[in-house]
Amino acid sequence: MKIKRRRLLWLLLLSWVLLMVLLIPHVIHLNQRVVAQFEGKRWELPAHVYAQSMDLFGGKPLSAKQLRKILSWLNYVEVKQPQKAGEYSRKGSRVEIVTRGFRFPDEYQASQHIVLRFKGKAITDIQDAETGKPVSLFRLEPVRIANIYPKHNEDRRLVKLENVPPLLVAALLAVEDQDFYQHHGLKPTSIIRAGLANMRAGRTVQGGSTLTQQLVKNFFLSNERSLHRKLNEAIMSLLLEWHYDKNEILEAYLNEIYLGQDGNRSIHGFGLASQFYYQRELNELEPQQLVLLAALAKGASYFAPRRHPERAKERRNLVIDLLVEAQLLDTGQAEVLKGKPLGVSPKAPSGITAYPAFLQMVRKQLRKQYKDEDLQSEGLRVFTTFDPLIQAQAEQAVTRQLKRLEKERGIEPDSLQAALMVASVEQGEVLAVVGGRNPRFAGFNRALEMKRPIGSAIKPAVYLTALSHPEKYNLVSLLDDSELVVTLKTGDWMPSNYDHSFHEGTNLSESLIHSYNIATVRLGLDLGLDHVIQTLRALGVESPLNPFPSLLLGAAELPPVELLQMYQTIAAGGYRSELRAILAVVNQSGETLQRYPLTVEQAVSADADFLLTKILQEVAVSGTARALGYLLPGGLEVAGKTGTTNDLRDSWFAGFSGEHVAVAWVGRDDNKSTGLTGSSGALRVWADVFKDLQTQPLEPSQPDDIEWAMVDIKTGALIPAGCSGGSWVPFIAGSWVLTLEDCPEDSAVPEAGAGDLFDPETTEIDTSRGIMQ
Amino acid sequence: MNHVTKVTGAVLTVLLMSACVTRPHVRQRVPEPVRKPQPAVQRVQLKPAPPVEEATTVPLAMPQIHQPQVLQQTPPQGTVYSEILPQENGYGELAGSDQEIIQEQQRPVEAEQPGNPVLVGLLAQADQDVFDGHLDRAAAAIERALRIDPKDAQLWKRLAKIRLEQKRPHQAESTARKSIRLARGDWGLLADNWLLIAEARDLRGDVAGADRARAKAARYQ
Repeated sequence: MKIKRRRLLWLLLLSWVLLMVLLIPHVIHLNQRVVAQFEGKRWELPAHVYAQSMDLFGGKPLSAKQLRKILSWLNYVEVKQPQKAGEYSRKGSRVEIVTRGFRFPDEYQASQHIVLRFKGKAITDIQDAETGKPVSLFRLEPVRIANIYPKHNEDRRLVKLENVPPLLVAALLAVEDQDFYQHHGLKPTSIIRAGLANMRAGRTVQGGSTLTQQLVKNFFLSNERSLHRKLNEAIMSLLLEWHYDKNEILEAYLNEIYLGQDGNRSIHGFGLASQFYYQRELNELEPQQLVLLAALAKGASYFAPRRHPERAKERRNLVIDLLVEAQLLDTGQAEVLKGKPLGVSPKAPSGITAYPAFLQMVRKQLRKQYKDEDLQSEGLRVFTTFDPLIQAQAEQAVTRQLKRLEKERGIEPDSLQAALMVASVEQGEVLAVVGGRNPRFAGFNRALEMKRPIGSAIKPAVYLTALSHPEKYNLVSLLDDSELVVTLKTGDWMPSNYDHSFHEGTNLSESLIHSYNIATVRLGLDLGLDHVIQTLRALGVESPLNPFPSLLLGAAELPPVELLQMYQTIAAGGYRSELRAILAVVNQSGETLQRYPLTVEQAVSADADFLLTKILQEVAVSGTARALGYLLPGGLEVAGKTGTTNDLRDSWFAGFSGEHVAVAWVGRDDNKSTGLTGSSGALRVWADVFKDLQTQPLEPSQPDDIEWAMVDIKTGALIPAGCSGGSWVPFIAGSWVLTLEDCPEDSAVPEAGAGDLFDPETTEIDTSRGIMQ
Repeated sequence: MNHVTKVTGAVLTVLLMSACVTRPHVRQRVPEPVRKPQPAVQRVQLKPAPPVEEATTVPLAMPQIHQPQVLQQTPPQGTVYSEILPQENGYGELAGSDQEIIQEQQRPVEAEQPGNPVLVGLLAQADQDVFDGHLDRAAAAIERALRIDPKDAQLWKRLAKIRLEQKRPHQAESTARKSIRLARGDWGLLADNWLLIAEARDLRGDVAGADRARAKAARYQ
């Protein structure tokens, strides 16, 4: 007997030692996991992407309706009398807002209570609602347009414990873990009690878990509920409590607990849940709303408010009762709260960005500096140039016009596709990107990725090259549009005009206004293909260009974004500003990591650009884009160029006002003919955006070296003083110009202004200089 | 000649000939035009703009700095003047005499007012940022102002100045040129811009270019 007992003791000791030997490393391993997960970047915060922040001031062209649209995008709530941040009211032409504080890259703007007054489609003045003092300039917080998610689609909106409403914490503790602040991670009594209840029921009916245990469960382990898992969970809970204090654990819990599902995106943390269910910030919620969130901690799927509202309400009211028990509410208050509806918004806000086409441009520019992992794990904030109002207009324009074109021309429905991009002229800021007919769909981005020949839209580069040589070419230089045969290695090429005729006696301006092909090819070959390519490069075209004569008619495959850059340079007086989508990237601590500053490069001569712009204005008045005369509101002066490719496969229009430049493309993905020209297709889309756009008319300021002179259009020669007839035409000072020795023979005196190729009324003419005898 | 030499010769000949036709050969095959009487024309050069003064090596006079003057007993009418408060030195005596009043002359407004009054606060902040050395922030503020008033030449000039402070002379010059392009007849602004360009060229070591720019500035002063 003695030997047996001793053996038993030895066996016990051995097994105990063995257990320790096995257990201790395991515990150490668990300990490492606990610490590693808790420290550092454990939540893989996504990068937030913001649109442009709008500056409000007296005189700004913005309607009350547009402002309300922006406020709704910012999830502001319309109330009778705004008091809390995130509320606004509208009475006639008066809008009162209590704004949220926002941390811009350069400054923190505190919450403000302001009143804006409108008249027509503009703000008249802004005042501080409390003091009545005028506010001259106010920057509205930017709309968040995307969150760049980590690979497993998690998102966070971190909250700090001190910023969480105390009622939420109280409700949570009351329902989940009343002794949270007292225990050491586990509650043996609860575990036993729950274990017994579960055994009796034959399945898991009760959880005895503390908040700490729940945090561990959420944090580290999957949903497996084996004994092994439970043991690990228990050990890790103890370890967590050993390393960190109660408040740290509570804060982690508040940001980690699973609270809902949105498709394949899981909702973790109360900050995000507040957005997900109510579209408001946590500190903007009402008591019963907070209690509901606390109630969801137990089982967000089972108690999902949108799918199972009764269950959710019951659970919420249970928690309210618990609060009464804990003497945090009195019965009267409790009854009032229990009677209130859930208040959950019927539709969940979209997690995936609504603007995938623009976001792609953002990612592209970011990727040059940052790796994908950095973008997805550091909680960066990206401030962009995006304008959601203009984007909305652009999207509607595409949808409307494609439908209309298909209907009116008997084109197969849904067969046409489009791309559209809008930018600011002077700074090259990208305001809107539409990558296809269905802008919500994150698919092939035609605006950035589709390369198609641009057709006649390339011609301005040829003419700009010519005008840069005032010793050879000016606006009225005669060009030869007669039959032309170009001998190439591959054979003869005979370019033809769109109308299959030859235009005798045409000049440089006419040729571009009406987009004559043959004259353009002659001109381009005379200048030299290399020279034209040089101009294209200066304008910002980066894609490969084939130095063949067909290049002059647009045999160059470019994505819309490059055409946009080209026309931005032309619109900005010859000063290229590289197109930007991002303004700044700020890290979680508020430091600016990267700025994308405005750059300016003088690409082409300002004088030549001025003359080209004059022609492009005429294109919109009497040339291939003259439909704009009735498509746009009167007074909106614009300039632009149509582009059509062979067999009418691609329809382009690139054009600009005084403030905005845009490129539109219409075509088919299978590259078949659409039957649309630049002016019957893309121009319509472009015009649809500009007709409602708040933009400035084009008023090109005349460079000092430009002078006007009286010219005989037929010969392209200056008319000597004392003769009647002729038209005013601008020239670059120092140009070589033909001059007539006598008055033109057939001086049929034109009616006032009828012979004018360019309207000199809009610019000053100094007639004292210019004509040399 | 052996076979190889013949072939080589032929190939070389072909290459040589093709070298002559690498450029597309443009021919015009048109019927003879009917001759119409043409007005007599001659090529003439359009009268050029006023000639640019040749760059001189004579240094320009420095711009005048207004010095405060000590006033006599009776200040002239309309003069704006301000009192310097008497200061106590260590010995309890007033440092300045009662009669000393510093006259603040009517100086031209140095802080240029923006075209849009709404921008005053923003630009004042930008000036402060430049003073404090927060150049990136100042530039961002100007960009924000430009969004509101994109064609204000003053704003572009300010940006050019900031680029200069940021030691980015190429951008400073490009931006100043843009300001010039937008500055309609504002000679003061044109002069400022050309001086800016001169400084930028100095920074790049382009002494000749800087002198030319200063000469241009002188034209407008």
